[in-house]
Amino acid sequence: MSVEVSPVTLQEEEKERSRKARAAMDAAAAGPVIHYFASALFWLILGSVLAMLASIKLHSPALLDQADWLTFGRVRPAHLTTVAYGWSTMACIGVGLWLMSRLCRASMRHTGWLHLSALLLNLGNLAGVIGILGGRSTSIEWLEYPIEAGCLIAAGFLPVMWAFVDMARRRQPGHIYVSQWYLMAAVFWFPLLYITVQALMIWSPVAAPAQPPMNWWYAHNVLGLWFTPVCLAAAYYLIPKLIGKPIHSYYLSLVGFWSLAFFYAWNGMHHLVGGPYPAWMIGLSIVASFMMVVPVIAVAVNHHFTAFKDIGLVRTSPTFRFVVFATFSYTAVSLQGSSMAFRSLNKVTHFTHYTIGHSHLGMYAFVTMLLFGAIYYILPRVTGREWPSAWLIRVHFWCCGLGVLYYVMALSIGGVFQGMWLLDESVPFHAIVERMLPYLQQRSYAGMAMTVGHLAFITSFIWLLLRSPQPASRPTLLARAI
Amino acid sequence: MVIPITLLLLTVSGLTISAVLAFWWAGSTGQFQEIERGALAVFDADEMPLEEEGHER
Amino acid sequence: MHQFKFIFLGALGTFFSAWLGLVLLPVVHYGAEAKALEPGAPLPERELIRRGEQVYAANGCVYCHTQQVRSPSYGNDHLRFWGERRSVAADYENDTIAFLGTMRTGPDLSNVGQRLSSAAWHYQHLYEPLSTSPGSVMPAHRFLFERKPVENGVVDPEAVALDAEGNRVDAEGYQRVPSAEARALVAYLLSLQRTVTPRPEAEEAPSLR
Repeated sequence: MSVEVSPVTLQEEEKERSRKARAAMDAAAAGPVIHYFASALFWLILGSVLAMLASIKLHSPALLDQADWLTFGRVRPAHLTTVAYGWSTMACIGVGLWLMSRLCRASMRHTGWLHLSALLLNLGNLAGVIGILGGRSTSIEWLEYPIEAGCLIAAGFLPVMWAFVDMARRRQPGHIYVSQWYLMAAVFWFPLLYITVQALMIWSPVAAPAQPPMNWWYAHNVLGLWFTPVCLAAAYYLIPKLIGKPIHSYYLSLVGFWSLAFFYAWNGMHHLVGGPYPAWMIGLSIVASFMMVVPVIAVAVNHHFTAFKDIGLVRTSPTFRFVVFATFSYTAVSLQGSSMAFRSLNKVTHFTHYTIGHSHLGMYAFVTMLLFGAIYYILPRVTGREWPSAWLIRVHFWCCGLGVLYYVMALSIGGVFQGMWLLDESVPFHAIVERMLPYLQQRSYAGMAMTVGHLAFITSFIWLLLRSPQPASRPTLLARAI
Repeated sequence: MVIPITLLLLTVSGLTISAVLAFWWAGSTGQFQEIERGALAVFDADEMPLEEEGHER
Repeated sequence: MHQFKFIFLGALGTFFSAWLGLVLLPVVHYGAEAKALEPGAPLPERELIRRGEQVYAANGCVYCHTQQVRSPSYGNDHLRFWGERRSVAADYENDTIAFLGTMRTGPDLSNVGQRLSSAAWHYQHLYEPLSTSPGSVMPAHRFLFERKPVENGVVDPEAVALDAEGNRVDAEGYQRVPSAEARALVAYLLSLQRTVTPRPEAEEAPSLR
């Protein structure tokens, strides 16, 4: 018998080591990641119910109008905050933790703290929703949660920051991948933003005239410096992994990261264009909005050029399908956002549903669809179980994808009309309210489709968790394009 | 108007300084050397022969 | 690890520079100008207005109503009689929260106290918006009213009309009177006369008009 080891065997051993290392990292990450995803899904479903209520109330105000806790002005902020801090934030943390572990090639440690963190975030969201529906909303957009909810969420974020730093300390030498740049920056940006603004607007509020700039600086930056970086990090990871080819240009991806970091923090005041503030303040933010085109083009070129190396994969890969949808939405929503700072367009769309359409193109068609894609990729890896039904995945994709496109279309068209009618003083105000009803009804139909998609997803999710692990099983692929 | 303008200048210089610092660091630690190899940092050892493998799903 | 320190530094530097410009600056600029609450109004009324502000916040009026008048160069707010001049930051110096708003599902409320100065109208509108504003999609705020029996045949002067005929007592002999919350909210709404005081900073360069 020969003791000589052939190069092929060595290569095989190395591959086996890599596979085992990945499996070990995924096993260590499983607990907190599943905890975060399950919590996020709970808030997604609650957020969808609240969204449907708010949407229907806007064209049929008589629905459930007896109880104070179900009035539109409470249900609407409850929807926004549960989907922002419950669904998106918790899903982003789950995705971010797993990505960080995989990219640093470091196993998650002391996961008890991360379970505590998920618990605190859940309690914070619960306290927040109860507070808002109970009549203690602050009515500061994106910061409606009362004081105790904000404290719980801020506290819940500390173990997450610690876990990111801990994994970064143990990272393997060499190039920092672009996703790590985004993740590391985002995990510090969000708590800083959140705690600063909580302190200045909730814990010890500054004078009222100084509040709106802070409000919109926060509300815009939480999108650009928290949800966006985490989701871009996930896209930069998933696209190359799925197609097996590196990103189109690593250089461009770094240009994208740094220009986002520098320009984004200046955004936000464009929400106050035409408002009661000095021109230089608004002007600065309009300039920053235009500057955002730079990182967007850098990211768009990278994502789309890379994805198009093997675009046919959308036919079979659930993750790829969601991620490609989301990256196209990112390009669209970012360019739309820059254009909305233009004075001529802003004049029409500023106080209309066009803005709501824009925010759903960002928070749903980009952030939420990307998080769906990431969960489709991550969950089988951390649980060792495959998705039970390709049919449910297809229902999920088409309901949510077509739903959100229809949603954005209805509100964008309706919003432009609303803005033009508002600018035409010959149209009486009550006529505008009446003419907007059909668009708002279409929005409710779109929302229903999205909710059906969410129900399909949570069914898949629970079904997967209830299955027994299937070692070395084949991934669940979509057999046909539709 | 002196205070706002001073703070504005401070802000802009703060931006520039942090940018310069970060780029200086990235350059000095080799993050920009063989920059396109950074794109491979996402792959593990067993995924490197990109054309044949890597289709995880 | 030391590599990541610089990422933190970069992130922190970016953050704090923006914080200085967009957060601290307005605080220094406008915070210093904060004045005493409604110098003219007597103390109990001021407290009522502040409570009304809380009711306005609790029930999310801001999601459909703005409180900012844009300049004639930026729309036709003045032609809808929402205010004679544009709003400026100092218009909010007596508030606890500046409800600027971002959506005009309903009309702007910057000067609603001047435009609609009757408390009775506001009570009626809050109880059943369609009774005063046909076509409105505003939710009825019946939960801000108390169901009280009519005593000795005297109907409360503030009781709202319950139907199109203007009946203020229902079949069971009950009336609906504004709760303390409704009173506070209406006091706040009536106090909204933001652009009545002239402000030099609201004047614009002739080229912008």
